Amino acid sequence: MKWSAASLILSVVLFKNATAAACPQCRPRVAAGVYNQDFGTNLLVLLLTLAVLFAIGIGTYYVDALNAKSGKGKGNDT
Amino acid sequence: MTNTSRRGPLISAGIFLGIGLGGFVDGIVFHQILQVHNMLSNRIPPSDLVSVKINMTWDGYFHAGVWAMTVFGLLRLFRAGQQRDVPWSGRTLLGAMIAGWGLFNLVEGTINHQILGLHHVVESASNKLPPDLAFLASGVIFLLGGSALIRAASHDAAPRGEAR
Repeated sequence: MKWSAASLILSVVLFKNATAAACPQCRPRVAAGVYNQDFGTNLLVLLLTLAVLFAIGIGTYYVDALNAKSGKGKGNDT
Repeated sequence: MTNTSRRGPLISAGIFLGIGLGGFVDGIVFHQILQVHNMLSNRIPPSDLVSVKINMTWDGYFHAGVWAMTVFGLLRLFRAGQQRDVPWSGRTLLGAMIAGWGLFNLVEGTINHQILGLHHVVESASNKLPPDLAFLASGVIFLLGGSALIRAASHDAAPRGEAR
C-alpha cells in the first residue's frame, strides 16, 4: 500500500502540470477548473468511496478470526 | 485441511481485485464507451469541451485509485500464495472477486449516487432513480452470488498447483 500511495502522489505531481496538454487552447481553463480551491474537497469526496471499500477489504482479511469468535468456524475447516 | 487453515488472506485479495476491476468496468463501460456519466458530472456538468476535460481529469484520479486497489489486491494474492495455511481455492478467489465487484457497485452507488450526489448512472435521464437502483441491485446480486461461491468452496483444500 505504501507503494500504491507513493505512485498516486507521484502521478499527481507529474500530471498536475500536464493537464490538458493535448489541447493547448483550453489547457489554462481546464487546469483552473481542476486545481482550484475545491481541489481538496473534490479529491476527498472522490476517494471517500475507495477509503470505505479499502476498510471493508482489510476487514475481510480477519474473516477467520471473526468466524471463530462467533462460533461459525467451530467444527469446520475455515 | 486442518482446523488452523485460514481463508481470510485469499478472500481479502479477491475482494481487493474485485473492487479494483469493478472500478475499471465502471470507468471503461459507463465513462468511456457509453459516456453516460463522469465522476463529478452532477457537480460539473460536461456541457462544453473544457468541462468535459475537467471531468476527464477527475475520472483519471478515480482510475488511479482503483488501479492502486488492484495492485494492492495482487500484492495480497502473492502474499496469500506464500502462506501454507491458506487453502488455494480458485472458487474462493473467484467468489471473492465477484463479491468485491458487488461491494464496489453497492458502496459507490450508495455514497456517490445517493448520499453525495456526485453523479448518477445515466446523467441525462429525466428520472435518474431507476438506473441508480439497477446499479445498486447489481451490487447486491454480485455480493450475494460471490458470497455463495465462497461458502460453497469452504471445504476446498487443494494442494498448491491443483486449485479447483
